[in-house]
Amino acid sequence: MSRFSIAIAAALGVALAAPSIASAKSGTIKGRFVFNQHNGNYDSSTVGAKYPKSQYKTYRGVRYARLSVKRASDHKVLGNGSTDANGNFTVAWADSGSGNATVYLQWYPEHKDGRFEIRTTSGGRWFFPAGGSFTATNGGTVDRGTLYWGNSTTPNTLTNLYDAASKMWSFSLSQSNRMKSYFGSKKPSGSGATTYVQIRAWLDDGSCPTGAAWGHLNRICIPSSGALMPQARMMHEMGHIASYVSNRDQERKGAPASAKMYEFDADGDGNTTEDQGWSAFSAEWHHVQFEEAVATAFANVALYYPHAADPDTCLSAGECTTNLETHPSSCSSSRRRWEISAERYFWDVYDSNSDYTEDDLSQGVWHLADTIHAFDNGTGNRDKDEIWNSSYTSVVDKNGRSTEDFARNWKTWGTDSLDILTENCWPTAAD
Amino acid sequence: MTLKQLLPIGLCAVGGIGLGSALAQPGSTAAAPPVAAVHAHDDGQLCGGSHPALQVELVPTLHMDTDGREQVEFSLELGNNDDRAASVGYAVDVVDADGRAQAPRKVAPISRVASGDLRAEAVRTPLAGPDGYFVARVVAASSDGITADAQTVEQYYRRHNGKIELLSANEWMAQSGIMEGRSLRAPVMKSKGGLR
Repeated sequence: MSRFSIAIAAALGVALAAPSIASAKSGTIKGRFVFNQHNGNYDSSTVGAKYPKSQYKTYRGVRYARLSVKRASDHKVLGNGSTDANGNFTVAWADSGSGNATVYLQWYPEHKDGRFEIRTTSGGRWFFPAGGSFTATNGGTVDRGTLYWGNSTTPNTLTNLYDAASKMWSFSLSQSNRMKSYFGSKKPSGSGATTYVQIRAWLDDGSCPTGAAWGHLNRICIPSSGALMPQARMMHEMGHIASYVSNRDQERKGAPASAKMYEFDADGDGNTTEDQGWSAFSAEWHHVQFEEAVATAFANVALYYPHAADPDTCLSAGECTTNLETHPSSCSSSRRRWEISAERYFWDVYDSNSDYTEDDLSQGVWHLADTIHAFDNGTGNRDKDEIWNSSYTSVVDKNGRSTEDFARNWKTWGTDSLDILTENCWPTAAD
Repeated sequence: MTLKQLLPIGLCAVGGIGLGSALAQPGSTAAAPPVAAVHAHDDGQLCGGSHPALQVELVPTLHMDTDGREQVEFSLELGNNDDRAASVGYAVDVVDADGRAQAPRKVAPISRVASGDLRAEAVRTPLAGPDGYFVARVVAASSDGITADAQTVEQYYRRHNGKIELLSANEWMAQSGIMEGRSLRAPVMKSKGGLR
């Protein structure tokens, strides 16, 4: 180094080629991750469907998922990033030393902002290796092109599960400021709870036959039989968590199994063992009717715009055919307790189509969360914990915290939907 | 008879989550720090999804040795939990992890299944074939004239040196290579093992 160079370096405060300074390398990697879409509950109608049938069995982008660049030799993370709404990504990496780097990519079924994560049955991380190792150019950008998961005959069910969860957040829950504040961003009180919503797949040990949600843990389980049925499984369970965190203080006291909430004696024969579980067309306690309908109502917003021409609901890996706009000319006592009756009420207050004179509301999904929040703390009529006695030692009102309570609380806060509830088989004895 | 009289007992009794074994294979990492087990009586538990009107199950019933090769026979059980008779149809495919068919697709004619009835059919995996990872998939559809359902049920297995090993959904995801992204512009790149 010349005396002239040294003088310049000294003037700039820069040491030139000093052996003690480690060299560094960096670059960017771009590409796209796509999966073959096999989820059911698509819609043939082209009017108002957020998931049109034209997307079924085609490659779609992996939405808003976390990804990492790792060094091939020792798996050290050199960079982190995420995909966009179309599965595209550009991620920066940096490492010590000179020259190019040998790296690999992998992505995780985890929302970029940490709202939810698909985990293994024991809580471990799933990851998707993205095409093996390659040379990342120092100072340059490497285009990895498009990487594919699944095909038209063999889906990757886990990528489909992630897509269902991602759509639930992007197309429904994120439209509520209350959800932005509390869904997957506040650790609930249960032991072992997570701040993010942890979705455990695939839990096939018999403990999770239809999927389940634990609000006080921010946890969901999904069995492999629940794959490809987003509306009644993945999205429905996320709807349960959404309902839970909508409450005052983002919690409520759930009923113990001993309360037998899911055993309404439909035929009045005194035997409730035969009544375990629920379906959209079975008579239930009004509390159960409400909670299950709310969960699917959040899901319906993820699948349909308010002006949807053919909104349907079902438990199916295909297209649904149970129309949400159906309104019966008469209501049996059983039908007043069906989940589908309450679900249709929630649809009518969301949609912008007027099916009858009183169908004059079209409220965003935020109204669901905010009206649940309107339930006062306490165990009195229309309170958050109405099913409990005042000392919270016993479940005493299984018809409490019902769809009627929702509608009446909403009216107190300024929106009258009681006529719409009447059109959807008013849940008698639910107040 | 009501709808739920036809349903299995105890489907809402959820518990034990968190006790499953940790996976440490490609596609998944070991468990996160231990969390407390959750039991059915925990407060805050919300009973999950609705129960299907059409119950579809693939139950492995038989391993048959023939000249050192094995074959699995699944009993395809179609139960009508609805309180009305339903028209039921189904198709069976056996494909490998890349979606290549291992046997001609079997399409059953649509038939009526009475309320509460259980219909069983035998589904056999191909006797011969290469080693690899395979899935037997049933797509069943039903309609009672009011509602219609479609369900997909899969059973996974691995054939190695003619021997068949049944796999869970988690084992299928972790071992079959289906977790690995493929570039359609280049030969398939395998990256199994050791990636963390």
